[in-house]
Amino acid sequence: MSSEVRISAKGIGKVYELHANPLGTLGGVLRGTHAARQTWALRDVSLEAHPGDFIGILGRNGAGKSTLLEIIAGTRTPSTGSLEVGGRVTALLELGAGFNPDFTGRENARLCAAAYGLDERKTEDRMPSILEFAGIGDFADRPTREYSSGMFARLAFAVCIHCDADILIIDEILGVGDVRFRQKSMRFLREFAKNRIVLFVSHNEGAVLALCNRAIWIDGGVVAASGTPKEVVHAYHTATARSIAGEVDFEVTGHLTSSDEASADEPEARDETPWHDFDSTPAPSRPGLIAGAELRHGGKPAGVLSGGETHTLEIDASGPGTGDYAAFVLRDSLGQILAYRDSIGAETGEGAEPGRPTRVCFEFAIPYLPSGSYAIDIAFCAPDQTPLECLDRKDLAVTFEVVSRHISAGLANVQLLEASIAVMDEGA
Amino acid sequence: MSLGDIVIEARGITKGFDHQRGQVQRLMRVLAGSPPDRAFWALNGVDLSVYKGEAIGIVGRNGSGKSTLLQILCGTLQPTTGTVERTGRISAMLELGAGFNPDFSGRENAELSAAAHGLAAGDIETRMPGIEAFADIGIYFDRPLREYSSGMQARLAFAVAVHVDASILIVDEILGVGDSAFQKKCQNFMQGFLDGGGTVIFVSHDPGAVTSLCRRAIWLEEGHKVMDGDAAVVMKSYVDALFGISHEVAVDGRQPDALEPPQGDDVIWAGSVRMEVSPFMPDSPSHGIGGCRIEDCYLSHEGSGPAYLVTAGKAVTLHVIARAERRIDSPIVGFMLRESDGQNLFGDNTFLTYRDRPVSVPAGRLFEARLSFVMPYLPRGRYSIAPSVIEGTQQNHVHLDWREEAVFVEVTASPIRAGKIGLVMKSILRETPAMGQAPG
Repeated sequence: MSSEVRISAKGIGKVYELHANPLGTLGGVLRGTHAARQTWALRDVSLEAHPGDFIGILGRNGAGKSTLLEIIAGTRTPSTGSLEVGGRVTALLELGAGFNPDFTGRENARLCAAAYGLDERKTEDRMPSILEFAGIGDFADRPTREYSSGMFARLAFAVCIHCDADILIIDEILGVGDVRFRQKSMRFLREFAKNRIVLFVSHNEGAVLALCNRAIWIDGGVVAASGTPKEVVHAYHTATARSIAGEVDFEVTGHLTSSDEASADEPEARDETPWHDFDSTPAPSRPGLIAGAELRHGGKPAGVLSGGETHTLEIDASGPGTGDYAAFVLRDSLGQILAYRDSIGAETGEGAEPGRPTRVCFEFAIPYLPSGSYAIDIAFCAPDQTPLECLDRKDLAVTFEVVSRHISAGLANVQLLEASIAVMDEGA
Repeated sequence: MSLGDIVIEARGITKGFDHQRGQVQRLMRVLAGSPPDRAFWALNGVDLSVYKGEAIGIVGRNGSGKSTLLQILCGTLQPTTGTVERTGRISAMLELGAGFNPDFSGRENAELSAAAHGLAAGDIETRMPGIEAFADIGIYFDRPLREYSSGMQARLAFAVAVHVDASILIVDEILGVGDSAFQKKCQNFMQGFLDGGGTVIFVSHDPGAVTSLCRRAIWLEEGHKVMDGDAAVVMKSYVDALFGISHEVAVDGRQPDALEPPQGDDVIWAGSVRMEVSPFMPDSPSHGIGGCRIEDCYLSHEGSGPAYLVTAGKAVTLHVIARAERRIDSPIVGFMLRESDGQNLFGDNTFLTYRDRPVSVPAGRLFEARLSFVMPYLPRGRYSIAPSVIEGTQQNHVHLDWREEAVFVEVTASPIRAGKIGLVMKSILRETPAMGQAPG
């Protein structure tokens, strides 16, 4: 990295000239006159980003989000304002837009990497990794016109993240691909954003809250709010409710407490007991110790769940020590850890001796999760070590789908036992 | 809703698709007079009567024949055998961008599309401002379609579809690409369209969306109609089938999923998560159109007085007390428990409980909603409860009083070391599996 990675956009505006018909456009050009109608797609938008920023850009369709990103990516020029971008920008705005349908996936990947500025040697070195990430198998050497839209998107994303970008611009791609691809992509993005910049357009407020450290909301081409995701989502949510109410006497009062005052607790301070950090990437000391894992329900492997059912997660290890423990995390479709559990304090059944095949069974009710795809990562760890010794780890050991029976707005809903509304006695 | 006139009557619909053989072979078969070699039946004998004024949800897995059926119902695809009779103008949104030209502007595409729906030129002109306003895509209405995001295309398509005087609206899940304000607008429109006597046929993967809009649902499987009836009953059977649960149909509408008793104490953690609950914050941030004011909100054990210390794994009741400043019909009271970073952990509301027997609160009276649930195990941290009173239905409503951070819940001690919630363990067992049981 030669120059400092950053984005500094000041007072960006983009004006479009609207003509009644193409001839009018031509006429305007020939006469050197301005159009009859000028409209601003963006006006006075400023944005600063530094390494470590994962910025969510919210706004309704047509608000100007994509225009802003295209300007930052350099594919559109702003009409006003100044833009400085340090570092290499890779934009995934139209997935696979530059792909030639008659070329194979491999050929398209090569061309696309060249367009992103990767030299030939590096491209060839990384090709196996690109194709592996895309998970398109034998289709790598088939023309891309035979691809499903999901395969297309996966290949485009895979190329994009292998091009040494410093700044990634992503336009709502989270829906593509199967569980594994999504989990891999989300992990990549989280890792990437630790020391580089991600700009992420979405109308999924939950995704912005879960992924981003900052957010801006663009409405009618101007910045309507910017700040922490919580503040911006709150403003967006309130404005959405207002627009639905038709603005009649809609009242808004008060402010949210700031995030700083609420986030005083460090995660390290939670507990003294050892645990395994699944967001770390340890070097396992006994790879191959984990023999397998399965989520079972009523004697069968679980595939599609709805929440509330009791399941058993069975983790098999080939020969752990008696004190070694199994741990797992449940991740949602954005790759964030919903729950962690380990076998410290587990009941020991018969025949559990060091070196013998061991099965650890966690029996639990699946929470009422929103519809989507979920993954379980598992690990075996040695006890009482500082730092914790990870014996073996298997990410994405189990994946499953949830089809929720309810409209659920939370990460892990509860079941209502009872609900009632009653008019109270006056004078109470 | 009276089951009066039939607006679409489909009888014995089948649709077969050929083997993907070459054109030459197909031609040879035609010349030889042999019957087409149907390799795949997308629909296999479907009967369907659609009554005026009803909303029907169609569900089924991918490849079950949903989209084929919709195309046959609206006439863009001919059935192999069977008949369809229609009365009234159908407006269908089947595939995103279908029928639009990418080089034309939104306005030009809207004109063409409205004309294709049979609207006269004069009508199109008078309605264009309405279409433009409904699409609400600003200056992009006059930009070529190729500059549109998928969400903007959906907005344009829906705006046209709702302005062509259709009496039957067929919607194939395209609304998912729009933003939430637009989705709500479409849902509001569909509700209003139904209230005005229109008919809606709606395909969705989302059981929640079907039950909240439709009273009747149809479940297709491999080209057959598996079930046709009350939406709640059909959706329960459908979801159960997805999960491989053999079911005895018994639905009370409220909780079709009493598979397990709600989770209670954890085998290791029981009693270890303590939560301090703040009193109600009367000056908490709020929004809404008014007409109702939340005056108190607190947690209790077993419906008794306010509890300022609660334990995870135990049943608690959230009380929301509000005063109606005017008469309120069909209030829905709900809540959301949020993390300090703003993410929603869990929440629910009274909609399903009162959908079929709405309560009405007279002007000036206080009313109380109670929502009981088992308090989940949570990691240390500060959480907030957002109670709300809205009026209408889950799909189509306005916020009367919605409060953020009305009550804070502080988890001061917790054994949870990572994640958002605790998974409640019934048992954790370590054993040596019997020979031959270890997976290979």
